[in-house]
Amino acid sequence: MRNTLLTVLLITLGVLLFAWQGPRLVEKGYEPNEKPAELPSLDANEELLTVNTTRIGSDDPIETAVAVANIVYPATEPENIPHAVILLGMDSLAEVMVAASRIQHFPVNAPILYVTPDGLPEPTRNELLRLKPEGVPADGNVQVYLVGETAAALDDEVEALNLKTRVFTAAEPAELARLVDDWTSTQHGDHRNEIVIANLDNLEPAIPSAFWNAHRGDGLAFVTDDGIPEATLEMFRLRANGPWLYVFGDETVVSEAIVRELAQYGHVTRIVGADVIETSAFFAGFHDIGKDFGAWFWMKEREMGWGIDEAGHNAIFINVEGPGGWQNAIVATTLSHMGKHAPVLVVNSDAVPPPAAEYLESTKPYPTAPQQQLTNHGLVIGGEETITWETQALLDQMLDAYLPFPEG
Amino acid sequence: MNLPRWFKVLAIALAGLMVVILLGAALSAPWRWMKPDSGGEQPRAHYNTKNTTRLAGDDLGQTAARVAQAVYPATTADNGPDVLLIYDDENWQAGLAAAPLLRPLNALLLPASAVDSLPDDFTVNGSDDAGGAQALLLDGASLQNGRFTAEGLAPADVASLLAENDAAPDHAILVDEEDPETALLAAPWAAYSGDLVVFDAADAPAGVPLFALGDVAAEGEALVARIRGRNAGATAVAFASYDNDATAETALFGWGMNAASLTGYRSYTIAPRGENAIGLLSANLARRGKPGPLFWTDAEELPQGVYNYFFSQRAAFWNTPSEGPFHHFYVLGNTDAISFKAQGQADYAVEIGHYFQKGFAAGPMDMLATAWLLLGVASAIWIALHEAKFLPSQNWLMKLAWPLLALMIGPFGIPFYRLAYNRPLIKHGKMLMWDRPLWLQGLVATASAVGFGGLIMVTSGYLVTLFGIPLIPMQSAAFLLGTPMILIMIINYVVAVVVAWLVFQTPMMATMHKKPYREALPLAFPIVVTSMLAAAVGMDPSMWWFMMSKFNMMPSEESVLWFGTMFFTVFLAFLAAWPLNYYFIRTQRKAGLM
Repeated sequence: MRNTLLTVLLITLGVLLFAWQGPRLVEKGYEPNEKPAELPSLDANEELLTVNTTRIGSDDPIETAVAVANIVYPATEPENIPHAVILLGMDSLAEVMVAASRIQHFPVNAPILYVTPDGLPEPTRNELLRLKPEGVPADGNVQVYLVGETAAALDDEVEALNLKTRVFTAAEPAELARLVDDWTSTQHGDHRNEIVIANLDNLEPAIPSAFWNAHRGDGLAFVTDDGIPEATLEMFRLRANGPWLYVFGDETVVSEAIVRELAQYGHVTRIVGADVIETSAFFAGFHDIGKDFGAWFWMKEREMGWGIDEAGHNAIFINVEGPGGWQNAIVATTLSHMGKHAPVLVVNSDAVPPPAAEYLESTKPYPTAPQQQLTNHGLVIGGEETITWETQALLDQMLDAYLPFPEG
Repeated sequence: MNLPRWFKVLAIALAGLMVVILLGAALSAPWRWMKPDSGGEQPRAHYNTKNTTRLAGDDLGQTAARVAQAVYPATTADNGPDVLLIYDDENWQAGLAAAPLLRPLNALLLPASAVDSLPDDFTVNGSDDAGGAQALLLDGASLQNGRFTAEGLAPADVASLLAENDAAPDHAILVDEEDPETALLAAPWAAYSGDLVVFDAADAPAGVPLFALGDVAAEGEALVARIRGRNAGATAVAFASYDNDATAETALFGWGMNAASLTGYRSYTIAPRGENAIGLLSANLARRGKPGPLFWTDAEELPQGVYNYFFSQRAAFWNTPSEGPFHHFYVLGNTDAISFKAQGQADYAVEIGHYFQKGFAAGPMDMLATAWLLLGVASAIWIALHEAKFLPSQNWLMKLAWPLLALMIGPFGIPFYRLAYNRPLIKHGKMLMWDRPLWLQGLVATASAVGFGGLIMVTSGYLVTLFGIPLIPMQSAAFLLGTPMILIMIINYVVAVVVAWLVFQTPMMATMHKKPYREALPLAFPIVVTSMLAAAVGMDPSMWWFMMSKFNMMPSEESVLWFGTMFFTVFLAFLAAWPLNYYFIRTQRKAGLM
């Protein structure tokens, strides 16, 4: 009896000791070996605010990426620290789309930061150190994903910070998409049957898919004006129950001939629009459900698209024509992944184009009683040259429950 | 057979170490939650978060300017104010009393000192209600320069101005003019609803239902209700939660943000305690956009009662996080007035999560997991003490196996133990045994196999997860073999077979067959391989189902849910291994009388 009591007591002491320091000691092994220095102070992000909109970032993509990571990951509690960070060069939209679409989502949970051929820019480096990514448990506690040649070249520099890395590079974007698909499908033990189809020769109309995929983690495969690359066909073949393909853009973006060819491999749906302004508004309201696979005792549904066409949701506003280009817009995909979980709408610097305005009119909230009031919130990405303060104020009014929808 | 004493000590120490690791890790989850936040002092590019907007200023004027611009961007004639309502900085009472005018007059409420801080291009249209002027000076307030044309407005005229604008109040709120911390809580509501604020019950218009806020005296006047808590913070919570049962006679009164309306969207303003003029800015934020109640906070962290309330309003989604609801905070003042840490608390408290798992907040599944764990711990201790006191002649391996099993199988440990030992005794030489039917012998054999094997598998699973589960990307149909969840199952199985074979099962066989350890090794091996396989068959599919498909997000080893799930699957492993052990008993490959 005395031995048993003594054992129970010993175990209790051990339990307390382990609870206090055990997991902490292991975590310490994954902490970067440097402290972050100052980040660029984005005054506009503190000044250009309205009740329904938040301004995030500047006209510089490197800073905007940092501002997005700041807003999504306060890094004050274990639960608001990302598992990993994705580092990317700024020269290939296809590369960034693969990373945003296929890596960012859970279980990885990572923001995107930019690097240059010269190395880690100061803001990126300091943000990486501030975030202290804790590692992805379902991928050997990898803390940093380096995607594409530019980022891959920095592997040693990142590892020198005591951060564990995984590198993805391929000769062609379609092969990179397949490579990352293999990895994420292995991680999930499942190949996503819903696949976004983007045209490498006209990629911008597919940008809204990266926001959805950051939220949902569906597939992404590329075609070209000339046809379907072999790597994309390989991805289709790995879908035991056939893929469901969502083609971003109308006939001017992805030709009918390509879509006919795609239909040989699976069900094809178009996200209609000639440019990214149109596809973004179309896709925000788009929702497709139905058969995926199975029968009798196990029926799995397919699901694609936000399907948001009512009040009580949020929107991310980007402009891909700003001084920061698409690079300044696509880093905002992390905002679809966490927080406001919003679809993206593409606007002009100094105007809200009709597709976005019409969409916002359909989702405009209206007064109810306070305990059941629906509200909308807008996240405006970039500096004032990307989206002006006047445009932000207009969007604010379009999102408001109490003001009339602006005319014209 | 005679095992050396150090072997027994080693086996017990190993089992104890595994218990220490698992229970310590499970305990570290709530421990971690209770730890204060850190990182508030880190560099940042800005001070907004996904659920909070900080309207920061280094002083009252700058903060007021940010609020003004947020409500009235004033980029067109449409989105600017018609008139400013100006009160003397020291006279918050006059400002509060004018709050119901904000909507009918499309107005902005400011302390006089803040007017100069408005941006140079901030335009005010001018209002017929002010005789065309751009500002109404409340209760004798004055403006320093002539940037805006102004007229005076006496407090007594607020009600008549409301009536002129077809905005006669539905209710009046009685507040204490000596207690700004409580009284100013009425500001956003008055601005949102147009209800009149009075400092004396006698000033309430006849026939208008009167509500009191806080402890204010209401001599002889008929109150519909008094909304109060034991302090100003609790009163703020009570007011935010309050709604009257609206009838034909009394229109809806109160924010009604309580447990009965959790699908609603929440907006809250938090202001630094003691800064009356900053708190009063919240009235403007209730003009449009996201109206919501005001809470005061201390600089360092949110008052506990307020934090608890925010947590109680946490947003939960059913299908997908994009469905909402979405909550939002306005934080008034810079990080000296309200720290980023306090802001982070607010942000986290209302972060949307699956209704099943609520992150830090314990959802129903976390509660179940915790109950399973606590029952297990209590059962294990009870069984260990009971064995020590009443079953001195029990084999030491069984003495060890039962508490280990009970630790993991929640409510089932004690019933199984009772089934096994509430039996007639048999004397077998110096050893005591229990007379059991075959199915119960099978239960005991399973208890020893799963007590050790399950514990090893869960410990191995924890350590592998803690250091990161390997992932081997693969193409082709073989991709599943590289999947972390499959790899961890394989690792757990191999570790469990090796450890259970060497440390626990071989001594058991040695005892049974009265053979030396070395000779028992090959006898025990096939038994361990098959009984661990049966356990894995029970454990692994359910582990996959829970973690990969049932739960919205795979729980990490930092969550009580992980331990609850793993221990529950050990119970399923027990059920799966029982028939196999029954077969082993029948064929006399295992002993079940110990």
